[in-house]
Amino acid sequence: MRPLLMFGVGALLLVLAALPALAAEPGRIVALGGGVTATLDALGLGGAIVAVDASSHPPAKNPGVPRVGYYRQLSAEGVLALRPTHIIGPVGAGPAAAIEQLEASGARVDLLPPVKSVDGARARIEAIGRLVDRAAQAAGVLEAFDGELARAKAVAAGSGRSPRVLFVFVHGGASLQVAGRGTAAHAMVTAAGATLAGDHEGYRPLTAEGVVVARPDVILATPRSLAGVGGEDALWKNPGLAATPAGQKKRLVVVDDVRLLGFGPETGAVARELAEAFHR
Amino acid sequence: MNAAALPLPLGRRPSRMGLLAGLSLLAALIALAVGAFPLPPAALISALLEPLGIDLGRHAADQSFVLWHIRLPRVLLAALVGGALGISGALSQGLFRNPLAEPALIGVASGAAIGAASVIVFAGSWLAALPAWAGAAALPVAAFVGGGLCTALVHRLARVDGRTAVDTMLLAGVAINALGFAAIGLLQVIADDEQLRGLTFWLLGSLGGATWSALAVGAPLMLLVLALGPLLARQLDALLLGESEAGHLGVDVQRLERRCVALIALAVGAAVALCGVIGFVGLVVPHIARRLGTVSHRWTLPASALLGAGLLVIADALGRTLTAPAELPVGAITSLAGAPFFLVLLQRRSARR
Amino acid sequence: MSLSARELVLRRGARVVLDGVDLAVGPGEFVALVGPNGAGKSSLLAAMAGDLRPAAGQILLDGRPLADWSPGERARRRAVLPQASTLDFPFSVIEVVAMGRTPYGHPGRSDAAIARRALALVGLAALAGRPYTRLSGGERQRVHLARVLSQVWTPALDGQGGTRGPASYLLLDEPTASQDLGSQRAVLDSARRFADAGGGVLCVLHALDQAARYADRLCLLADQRIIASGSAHDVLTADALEAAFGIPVRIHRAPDLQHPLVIPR
Repeated sequence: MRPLLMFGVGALLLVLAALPALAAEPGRIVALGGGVTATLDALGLGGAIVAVDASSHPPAKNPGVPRVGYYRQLSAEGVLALRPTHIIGPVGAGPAAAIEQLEASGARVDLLPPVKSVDGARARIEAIGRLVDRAAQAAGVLEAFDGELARAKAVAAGSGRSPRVLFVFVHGGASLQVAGRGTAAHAMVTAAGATLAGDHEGYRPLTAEGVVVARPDVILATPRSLAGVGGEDALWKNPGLAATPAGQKKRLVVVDDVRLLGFGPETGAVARELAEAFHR
Repeated sequence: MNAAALPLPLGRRPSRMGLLAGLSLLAALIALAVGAFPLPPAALISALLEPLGIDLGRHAADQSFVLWHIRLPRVLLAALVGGALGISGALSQGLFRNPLAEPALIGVASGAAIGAASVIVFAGSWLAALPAWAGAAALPVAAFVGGGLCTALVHRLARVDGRTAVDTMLLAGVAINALGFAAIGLLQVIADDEQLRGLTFWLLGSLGGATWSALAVGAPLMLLVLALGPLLARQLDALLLGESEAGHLGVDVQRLERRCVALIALAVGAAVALCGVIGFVGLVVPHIARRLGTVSHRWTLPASALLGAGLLVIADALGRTLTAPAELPVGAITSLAGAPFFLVLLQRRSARR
Repeated sequence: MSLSARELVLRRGARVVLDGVDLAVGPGEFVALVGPNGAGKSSLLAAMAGDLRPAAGQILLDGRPLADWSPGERARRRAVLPQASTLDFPFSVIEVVAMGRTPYGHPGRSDAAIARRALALVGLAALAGRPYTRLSGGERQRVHLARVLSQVWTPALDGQGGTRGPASYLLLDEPTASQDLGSQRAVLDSARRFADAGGGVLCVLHALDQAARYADRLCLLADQRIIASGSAHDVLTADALEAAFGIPVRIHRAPDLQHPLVIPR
């Protein structure tokens, strides 16, 4: 985890070092990825965003913004039709041919390393702030971000406990999966001062016996996942869950997936909300 | 109809072939004119003539860019891939003497899918270490090689007493496809969320990778098949009478079958490597071709190529425009349109009997 | 100049199907292979066509082993009509007949003309544009006869002298099986015309009276050999037929018949 994080931050810094001096004019931005879009919005550039990808929430000021589909399957012409001057998204945006064509069209394309940690979110906010010449605003966002994180820590310290949290997620539209080490959910649960119930790497299918062994105090889910299993009542019917402290007290926390796993400016606030919910 | 006035076999067909070619060309022109980026006909013509030194001044630089660097390579790739899939379908149905056969039966598609899926799921980390061009080439190369290997395996499995039996090959192809399907299923279980989405999109097929460099690699392979395929027409007609009857007519049946398999593998391998799996074109297009003319391969092979090209160009134009600025994978469109169409054809066929 | 088998031995697996057969079909000759089921008639025909490899002995075309001929050369000199053909695609009748011209490379105007004449020869000129799949069984067989005729077409069949190349051969495997009388007659008449035009015909037949009526020479096969060969009068004898078929027969010869009549007793 640690080396990966340092690698990510290092890569970010390299990207930043290579950047030319920027104009203050924000231009027309296509934002790819929930975290990137939310960051740009928080930096006051919601109005400059001319399109977002399928995984982003549209900026608050611009709710009807066009969608360019899944960020790995962009249509070069579709994006160009929006006459963007700047495309910001995660590494992996594609297909490679479309990225090539977008760059060749003269638009600026900045692809940032994927973020799966709170520190990564901070670094990305800083990076985007510099990319769009909003460093001062980024510093402001980060101040609020750090304040929320500190509050999350305080809440956790105040309770003196570290509740076990089980994160369930619908993976690929099929079965219910449980998050393990190295996942984005792991980072968020940790930031909220709780312990992730799940000792495996990555995601693993939810089984009744696995749930009993995990002994969660709280279940964390996204609205989409909850709908996927048929609602809260259906969730509690899982035979394994009934035998856990979470099942007995029916403790469920539901957070929107883009906010929870997007690692944008709200990540600090989400960590604080989670801490408050977990340590109640 | 008296015998003396009878047309030569295929006598009237050249004009119908010309009509088909004209319609495909028209489809290509329409496809060039539509898309997310505004490019009115005047600007389209002006931008098309620009490299010839004729400056009509009716287009902007960005319109010229979209036409020459995005739309034109894409329409050309769609036409080539559609043509390659169409002619491969006609070749397969002739080779297996079965109108329900499709190119996938020689194993090339599942082999290519396994190759591509392996790269998507396993190769992420070490691909990052390669130079960018090599990383980008890994998937198509793996797909092409996988398709070739799997075809060779199916062909080898069908060898009995030193001869390839076509009906055994059909069964071997079905078995290998089932195995390939299982392997893809397994890879989907192993894949993480991102890889799974990549895999799903690849299996749906897309022409989004159309660039001049992709064309430079794929076009010679597909053009080769488009040029050589029709030369097998008479022999394939004879093969429809049965293998021994074809032999009596002087056809070297073993050589014909080898050539067919090689051409199909080449065309489909190249198409799948560049665009992923595009379903139903190879199966449905030869049926439409036969209904428009005759069942003779001298008509169906070139006509399937032209029809496949025209139809895929249209399907891709729909995919580019229906949900713009996003796009629908072209394979999803061909399957959505192809499957019910095929059912209708089957119904009519059984009603006629 | 002939298509001939010399001391031919054929095996299928361990079983000997033909054991030392000598047979020659010359230009202008109609040879009928007759005999009981399992005597090896179809195997002999298949060997003469080049489909079965001899275990011993040789098949010669114009004195040269058949195996030495390229597939294309061979196809221009001999055509084979199987008992039944499977063709499931709705070709037009004339297209099926024109397939006979496959060995001659790129099809031209003369190929189409030959296909039309071959179709007229078997009496089906009116069906040229009809889909093959809608024909009756008898019509289909005649279409295939027209196809093999067009494959080894000789200008003499047009009633013209013309330049005559080396003779071609037509191998027919029970071409009249499961056909009505009119169709049987059309088929055998066409084959006879081919022989009269200078081609050689080797034809497996079940009906002895048809063999007697159409063939110049009959070969009676029994027990993996040819036990009698010659004109109908020579071959259709009570002794030979009893030996071959294992049942007693009566041979009826009448002055108003050109050939003897075989009546099982």
